[in-house]
Amino acid sequence: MSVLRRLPLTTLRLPVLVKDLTELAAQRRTYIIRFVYGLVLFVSSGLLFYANLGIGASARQTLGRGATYFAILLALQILAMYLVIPLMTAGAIAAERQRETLVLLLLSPLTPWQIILQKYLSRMTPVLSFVFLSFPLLAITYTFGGVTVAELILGIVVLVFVCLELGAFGIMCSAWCATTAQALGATYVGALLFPWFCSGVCCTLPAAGRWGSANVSHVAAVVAAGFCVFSTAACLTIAETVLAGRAFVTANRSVPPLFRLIDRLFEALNTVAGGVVLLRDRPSLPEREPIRWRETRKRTFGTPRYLTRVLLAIELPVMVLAPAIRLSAAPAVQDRGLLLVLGLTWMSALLLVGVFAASVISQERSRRTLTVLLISPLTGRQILEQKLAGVDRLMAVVALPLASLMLFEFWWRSPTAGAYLLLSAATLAVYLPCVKWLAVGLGLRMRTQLIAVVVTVLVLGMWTAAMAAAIPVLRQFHVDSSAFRELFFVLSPIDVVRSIQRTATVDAGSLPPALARYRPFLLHFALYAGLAFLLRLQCFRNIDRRLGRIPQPI
Amino acid sequence: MNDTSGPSNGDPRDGSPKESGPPPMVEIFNLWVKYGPLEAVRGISFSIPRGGVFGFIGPNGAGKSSTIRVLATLQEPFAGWARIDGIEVRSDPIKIRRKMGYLPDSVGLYEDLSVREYLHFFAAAYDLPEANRARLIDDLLALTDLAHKIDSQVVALSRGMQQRLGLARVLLHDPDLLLLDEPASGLDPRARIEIREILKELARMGKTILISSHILHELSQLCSQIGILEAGELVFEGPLEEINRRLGLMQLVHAQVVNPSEELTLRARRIRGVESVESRGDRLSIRVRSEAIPPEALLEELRSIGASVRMFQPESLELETAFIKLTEGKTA
Repeated sequence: MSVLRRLPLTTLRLPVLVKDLTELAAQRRTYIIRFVYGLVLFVSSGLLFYANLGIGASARQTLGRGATYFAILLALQILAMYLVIPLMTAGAIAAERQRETLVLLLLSPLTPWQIILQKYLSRMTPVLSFVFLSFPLLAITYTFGGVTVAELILGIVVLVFVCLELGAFGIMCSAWCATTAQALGATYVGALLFPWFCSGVCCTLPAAGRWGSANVSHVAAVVAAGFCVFSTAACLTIAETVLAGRAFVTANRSVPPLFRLIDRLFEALNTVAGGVVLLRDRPSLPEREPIRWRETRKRTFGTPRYLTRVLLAIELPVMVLAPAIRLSAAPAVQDRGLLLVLGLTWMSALLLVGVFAASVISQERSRRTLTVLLISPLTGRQILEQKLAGVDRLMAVVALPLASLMLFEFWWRSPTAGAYLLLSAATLAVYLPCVKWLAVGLGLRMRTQLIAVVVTVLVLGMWTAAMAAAIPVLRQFHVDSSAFRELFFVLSPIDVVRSIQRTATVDAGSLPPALARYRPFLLHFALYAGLAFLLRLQCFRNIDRRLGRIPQPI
Repeated sequence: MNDTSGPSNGDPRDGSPKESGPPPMVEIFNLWVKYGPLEAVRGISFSIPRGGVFGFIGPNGAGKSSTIRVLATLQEPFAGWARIDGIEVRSDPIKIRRKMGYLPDSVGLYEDLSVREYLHFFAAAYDLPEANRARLIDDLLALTDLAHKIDSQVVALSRGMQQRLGLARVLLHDPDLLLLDEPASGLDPRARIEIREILKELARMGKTILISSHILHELSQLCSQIGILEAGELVFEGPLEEINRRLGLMQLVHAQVVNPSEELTLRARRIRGVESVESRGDRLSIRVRSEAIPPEALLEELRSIGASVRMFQPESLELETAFIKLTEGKTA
């Protein structure tokens, strides 16, 4: 007992951990997110287990498939952790700094190590609860056969190590960055740019392909685990080292300084080129529509100079890649290559439009400048329409590379492929406004710019993924009637874009009659144009209330 | 929460017939503001006459900002009613926005604009005549002592200057009513004094001002009327002298006399309404019941007992004491 009394029990008290976990436990969204995560995980696993063979498959048919299921499930869970952990860790330190409570923690008897470790544990606890959710599913894969106990344990260890490592990286970013948004961006970019970072994945995923043969390199696993522990410790040490030094770092806007740097670079290059200035910023003052003036004259991505740079950054690679692919490879590879370029260009365009449209109101709200607009006599409709002037310009700019690609295809394939050109133009006319109004609607509802952008990207990503996965999954369940195929074609932009691309490559003589051929396209565009119209209507409906002020009676 | 019932005219509290002449600039009757289960404002009523300066005092979370936001047409839903210049805020919010200027606790500055661009931005938002904008902005910058900063980026201004720029923005469309939510919050003493002087000037110009602040001493120097809010309820509303009388608070008056003596001090103590007199050299610190004797009468009395007064300075009323006595530190 005397030994126990001498123990420094005060050091075992974990105030930061207790406070964070208590806060987490008190929030309703904690349970909702966990439930939704579990639901998605179990439903997708159910589809995975039974999609190949159907629900009535016999034990003999399923025997030995556990290895494949195990590898897919593990990869899915790791992917999910890559999405979830940055969201969970970004605010751990950065939010304390933004609330100006970090300095109070540093002034307390807690050491930086204690703060960092407690913050780390407070984030890892819910993350590991997500991981534990998948354990029963991993055990089910074991019952299918093809997975050894050692592989099962190793898989779980890998999963836990990946979480611990990525979590430590997230805490490091949170300790370094001034704001939660910056920390979130840094964690995602870091995790994407350095796939080697998750050493567990690097060393064991190659082995995942051999789960069935039980040929797992234990040495590789030990090395991976060792590297994982080392990088986790390194990230936490860096976080501890910078914690006090960056306690007062303020949130400088990072884009304008970056653009000023690029400006200086361009000016230096222009000196060499003879000092020709094509687009000159002329000083001006607002006359009639002040918000439109600011969005198109003062905002970084609203001015012609910067929009031209955005255009060139997307257009040049597209214009180099498209002819290069057409000239170099076999026809089948050409088509796939062109589709990939088109897909990536669409993705960039939709992300840019989505992010900027989601930010138009939520950014004003985050920066606390919305109130001064709301007390002006401008109507809610005027405020929103003028705010969207910059997004409209951006939409026109990102549509140009897509249009170039489509015109190039039209020119390359056939001068008579008018249908291809018309359908492609319809994608531009429908998808971009649809994403714009969806993002504006979400931005109007969200309290901060960060949440608005994350939710918009998630909605776009989930819809795209659902549409991409729906037909293959339903086919596995033998739901493959032509009516279903047409229904999902009408719903799925990916299938429509892919199909339009095919119309440029297939001989017109082999196609069915025009009405039957184009009916799904027409239905698809009508559906998405209608959706865009409804979303727009919804944005302007009760706009004053959504913005946060008393509406003008009609 | 959208109850707009209430007296359609006359005194908001008794529904008495409307008197002839213009209505008070601000009338609030039985105002309730709720955020979910939290009642931030609980049935408050008050009015501010034209040209009055109304100081809103209360601890954090007392409901000051919620009340101001109702008047600024930014708070919905709410129950009861609120009128500006006789117009209910829900009946014509755009007209109300033209009649009032609101300075929120966060000034709301665009980092990418200069001072000139910022004010032109809001001049355009209020659709002010283009021909007059430049001159108007010059005048406002002169009033707020920012003329030399016209081409500076707003982000480069000090906190005090940003607050003055916010005031210039509020004044652009020449509103009759100014709603100022903690305008001196976070400012250093010099910046606070500058803001106070501008507000005094605006009061002299006949603007009606509703100002909330924690700096009670400053409010007492500025306001003709005080409202003390606690836990969403108005625990006191009226002129400062009324608080003083009700609570029996003392007012301190400093006087410097050329002929100090024991005898003079004794005679000063015998003046009606004087509670105590402390003498230090040629200085007298006199505590008086202000309801018993106003400062001007005290000066006359001092002269009548033979004091040759060189300096006479009544201190503002003890608002802090009143605040402590009237409130218990409760929040809604």
